Amino acid sequence: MESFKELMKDGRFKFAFIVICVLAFMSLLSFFSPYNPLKWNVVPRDLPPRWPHIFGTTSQGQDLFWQSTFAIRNSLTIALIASSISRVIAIIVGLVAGYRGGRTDTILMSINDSFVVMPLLPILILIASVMRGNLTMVALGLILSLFGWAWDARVIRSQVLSLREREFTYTAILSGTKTFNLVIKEYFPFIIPIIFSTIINNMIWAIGMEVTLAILGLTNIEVPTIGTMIHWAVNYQSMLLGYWWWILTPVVISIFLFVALYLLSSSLSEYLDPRTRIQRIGEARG
Amino acid sequence: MLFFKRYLLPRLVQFLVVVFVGITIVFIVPRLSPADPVQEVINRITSQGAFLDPAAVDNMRKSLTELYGLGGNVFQQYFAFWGRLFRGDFGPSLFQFPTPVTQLIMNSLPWTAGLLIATTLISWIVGNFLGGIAGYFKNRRWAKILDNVCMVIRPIPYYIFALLLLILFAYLFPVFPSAGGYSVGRRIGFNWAFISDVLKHSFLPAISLMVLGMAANFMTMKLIVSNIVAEDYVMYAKAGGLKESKIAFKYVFKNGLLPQITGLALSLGQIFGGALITEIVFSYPGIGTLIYGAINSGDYNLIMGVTSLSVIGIAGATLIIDLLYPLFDPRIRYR
Amino acid sequence: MDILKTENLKSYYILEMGTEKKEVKAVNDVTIGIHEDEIYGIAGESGCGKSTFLKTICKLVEPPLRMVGGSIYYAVDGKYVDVAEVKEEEFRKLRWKYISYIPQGSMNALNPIIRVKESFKDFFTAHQKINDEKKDFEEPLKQHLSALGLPMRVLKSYPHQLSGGMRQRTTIALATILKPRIIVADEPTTALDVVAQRAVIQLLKDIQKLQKNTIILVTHDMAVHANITDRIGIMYAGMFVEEAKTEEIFENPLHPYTRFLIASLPKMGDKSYKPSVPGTPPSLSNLPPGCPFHPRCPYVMDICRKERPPLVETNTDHKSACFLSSKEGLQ
Repeated sequence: MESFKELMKDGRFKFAFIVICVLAFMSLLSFFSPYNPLKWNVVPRDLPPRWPHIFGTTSQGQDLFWQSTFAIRNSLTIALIASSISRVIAIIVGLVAGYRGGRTDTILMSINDSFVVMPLLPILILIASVMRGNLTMVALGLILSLFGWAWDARVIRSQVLSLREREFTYTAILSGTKTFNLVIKEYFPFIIPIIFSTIINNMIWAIGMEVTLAILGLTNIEVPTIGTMIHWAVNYQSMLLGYWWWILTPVVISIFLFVALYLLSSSLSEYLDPRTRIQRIGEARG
Repeated sequence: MLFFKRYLLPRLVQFLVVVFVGITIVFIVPRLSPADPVQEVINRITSQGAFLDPAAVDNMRKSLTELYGLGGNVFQQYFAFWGRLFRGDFGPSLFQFPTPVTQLIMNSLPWTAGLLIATTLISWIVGNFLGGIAGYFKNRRWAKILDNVCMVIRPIPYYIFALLLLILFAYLFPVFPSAGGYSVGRRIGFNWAFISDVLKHSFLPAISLMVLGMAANFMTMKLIVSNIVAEDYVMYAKAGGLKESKIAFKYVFKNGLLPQITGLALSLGQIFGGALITEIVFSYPGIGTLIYGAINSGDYNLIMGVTSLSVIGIAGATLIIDLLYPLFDPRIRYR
Repeated sequence: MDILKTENLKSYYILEMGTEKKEVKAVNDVTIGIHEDEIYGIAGESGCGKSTFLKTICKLVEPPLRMVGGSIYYAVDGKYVDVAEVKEEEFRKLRWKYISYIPQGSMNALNPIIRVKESFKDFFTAHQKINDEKKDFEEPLKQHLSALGLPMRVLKSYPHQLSGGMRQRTTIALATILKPRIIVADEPTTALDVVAQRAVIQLLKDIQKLQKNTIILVTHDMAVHANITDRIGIMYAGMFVEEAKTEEIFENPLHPYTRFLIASLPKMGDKSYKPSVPGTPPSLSNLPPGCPFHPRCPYVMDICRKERPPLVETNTDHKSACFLSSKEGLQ
């Protein structure tokens, strides 16, 4: 709880936390939506923002506000699936490569770096266009997770490398600790902060990819996500026709989402950074 | 010789690994789909009501199979794929039949390359320059304000920003053209009228790429420089009474640019992706729009061609930057 | 006259976190005078303020460190100049020509991406014009290096290509290239192996003899002090508690802290039990009232708890900050 209060002192964290809470609240509202998001023409079309349709309606006859609640919920779900699974992959690769070293390390890092250097967008486009239309949320999350682990695996690996050289490792090995226990019990407390700060960055990337693929029309565009909302708005020429609320709503929501997540991640990682943490502790005690 | 082994060789090998992994993925993915593209084409033709002689259908099937590179078993296809890659042959575009994919890509490439190279260079130079000064004077007000501005801009994805710019400057205040690489009907040539037209059309896409690129470079450079300023050799130069300008450039900035060069190599893939999407938003006649059309028309050959070339291109550019790095950092040059 | 003197010098680290403010009194009212043509050693344990004192007298004070009181005087052209009154640009010219600095752990003191020769050139040209490259710069540089026993290949190398000892000696050569009047050396031997240490100590001795300047040498290693210093000042908790000729300090220490210090030094052939000072040094942000040593002093008197003893001359050329010696004289 104290850490939370500390964090709230940081203006960035405060802003980010509030925005995320609002968005989370909106996604929870989706369970109470009076309209089925998959149906068209449930409300009058092309209405500008006015009560009771506070965000306006689309050319397909859907209420933008309730669509947004679903969109936020789904986009966040996809992002969570993608980043959690990729964490697991990143941890496994990073731990094995960092601890084993030698040839295993070289081979793993070679493959790892291929994923870092490769331009992922064209490849994802290729995959998505092959699976066209069948890309459910879970499938999309899985595919994204298969490509999003590389950068963070490297970070974890370097942390493991430095831990391996520390004295407590030798002590543990000499006292007969099994490798598995050593890794799990001793190293994990150091790795957990890394996981926290990278999971948010990974979510940003995942949402970004989802929106990109959706705009291109490659994901299942029936399911409302932030990306598909933009897709439909662009497809129906909402700008040309002057229905600015249709394109603006998902754009503004996504800006808030991205900025909030980014500020959250940078304030958290600065808080968890041992160097700045020691400074803070020294100051608090003095 | 040692240098070659230690530094150059691993990077060359890495380049080959990336290309190998990437191309293999490009090869495998379409084959994971249960749909048989040859059958689909034939269905499409027959469903249009034309009556076809079975022998003709057979012939069509054979040549289509050839075209799609689906002859023989998987391994034969794989080797054939590589063989064609080396010859620069990606087959004909399925939508703009029979134009070869390579030709289509070559038509769009200059537009993308021009946009990409110009914006990357400018945002790298300007972003690092401003970030360097801000890191040096990090307690001044303007440095802090700029830092906060960039902090808000940086996480916004390219296409969102591009959409914003499109709404603002092409519709609300129609200052710039909203689509295309040049006005319809204008003659292509090396005259000022054409070039200025091109510049006008590429302005918005370039701006959206540059603003975000500059914000990212600004923030990382500022962080790097503010760390370097606390380094021993900078303090020592101050103790030695060197002029401030000399310390700023030779001791601080020069050292700060080194990690930025590496950073550039690592972010090329990301910048490329952003450029593609921006092109699509502005209907800019580059590879982005090309691939968008390919997606909509199910032109597999084109998608595969673009993807393969992207992988090779980005990996190649990364390799080149990696190879140039020792020229700047003597710690790598000499052991 | 003194080449450098300070009066009531105070230098604190000021850490502010929101509404809380913490002051680390690293240099706490120091009045000291350093003579010309001498090697003056400053001894004391880690954290007593030695390095901060050096940084302050070189005007290398960066936030959160701040000089909050007192003055520093340099003797320039026969007159005392208050350093605080010298403008930035003027002081920049003074640097390196008048006073140079050898930092603790010169591992990172040279710009890593330029060759050593160019580093030298940078420092040189900051204060002296070069009209003829060979005559004005290269020849004197080569002479200087060979006088100090450094091989010429050092010039062509990048800093990372040199060993630790070599780097330290190169930094010393760099610090003396313009023949400054004062050289300030902060723990020049600490990061080195014994062989390199010997070379460095010899180098410093030779330079001083050659250029007849003043070296202010900070180290916690009493053996180094015994080896080359003329006078020693003992620092404790941000203050100077004793100052005398080197032999005086070793043979006749007056301040209780110094006595413990000298008594704890190992002697060849002497296997008796060495006592160490009881307790721990005080936190510099939370100093006790009166004499900072009184909580650990076996001779503590009432007055020690209330008043801070001034650094006064109790014997000829022997100063001590202790009510014991000032009241009762020699013990």
